[in-house]
Amino acid sequence: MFLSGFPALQNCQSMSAILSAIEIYLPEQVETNADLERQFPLWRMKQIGEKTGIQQRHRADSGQCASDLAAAAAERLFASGACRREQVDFVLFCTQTPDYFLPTTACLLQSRLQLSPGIGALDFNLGCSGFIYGLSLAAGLVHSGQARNILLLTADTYTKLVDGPDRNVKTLFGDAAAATLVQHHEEGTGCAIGPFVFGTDGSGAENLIVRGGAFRHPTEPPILKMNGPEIFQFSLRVVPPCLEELAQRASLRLDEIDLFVPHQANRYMLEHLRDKMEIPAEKFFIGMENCGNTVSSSIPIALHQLRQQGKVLEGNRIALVGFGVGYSWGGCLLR
Amino acid sequence: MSHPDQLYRILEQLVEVPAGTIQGNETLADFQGWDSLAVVGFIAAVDKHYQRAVPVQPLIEARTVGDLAALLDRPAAI
Repeated sequence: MFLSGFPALQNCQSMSAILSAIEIYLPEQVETNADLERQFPLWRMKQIGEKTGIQQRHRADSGQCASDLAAAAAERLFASGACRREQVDFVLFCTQTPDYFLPTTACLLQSRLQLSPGIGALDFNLGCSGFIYGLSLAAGLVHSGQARNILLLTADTYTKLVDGPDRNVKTLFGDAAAATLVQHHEEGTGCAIGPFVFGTDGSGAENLIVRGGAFRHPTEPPILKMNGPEIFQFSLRVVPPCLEELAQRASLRLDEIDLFVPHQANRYMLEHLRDKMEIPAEKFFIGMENCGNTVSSSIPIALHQLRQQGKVLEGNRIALVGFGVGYSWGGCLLR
Repeated sequence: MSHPDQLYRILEQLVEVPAGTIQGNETLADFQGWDSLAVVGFIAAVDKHYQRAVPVQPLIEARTVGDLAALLDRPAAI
């Protein structure tokens, strides 16, 4: 039964969403492990590099904000020919380091990217799970007929939140942005998006947090604090069941998934998760050596790398899983 | 391998000391390799070899090898 005056969807299949293009941007400034060893001679950077799988990370300069990185990634997307800017009818921007408390950074990006004023634009605040949730929001907009060409932007400048000598975070995080195009399938070609799995456990909030700089603790500076062992334990707890549930929702066995692309947290954690789930190394992507943990941009950067390496083949089933700050996690299948 | 012996061998690898070094009465601070990376490594090793989760805060507060062994006798955290 349909409400009078509202047309019924003709066919849900006809509203399917696809991921059709990804471009990325890494700021020019690079901090290598050798740079850190010179600054902090007591840090065992060789061992840290081997464990984390990170040899360098990019840093936004003092005048660069998340919107600058996101705009650069979006311009690359337009330059690639994947989409004309006048086609974009919604902007989703995932960041935890916005330019301002207000206005919404996505509104600034609409103007800066010269997108039509007749479009939707909003920010959402998530970290390492953000890309999964962004895909979900974008796919939902397509499925419900509200938008057809969605510019999903992810960008963060976590390095601005790092307290200089905090080895836990300084060796891990890098700044980056990604621009992902999610379209109605009639608008382009690409991977179908979904199903999804979501998870949230706010009881872990204190284990990855910037306490100061907002209104709960207004006099404290905004400094990123991470309890690495707790985050590691959390990841071991949630990632395997998340991927198993995702496979189940897609009516697949785990061994029928061609490629696993997890949030690129650090190599040690990912290798342990891979071994725990008995996933062959060639099906489990690990690749944060040159950019570190880039939070919500890590999965699109990994997909971009895989595409450049020719490792994504037509018909592949690709499982994405994001997990971290919140706690928040989510999985999504591309095929 | 008995329960403590297996734990000691795991610890020796984590703190990078020769096999047989750890007898069970050592202080963790005496090992240069017992740092935040080793703590994460301990969580991973217990997950792998014992299929259980170590309670993290007591692990961070552990001072001796005996404290670590005692963690394995506690109810699983998850």
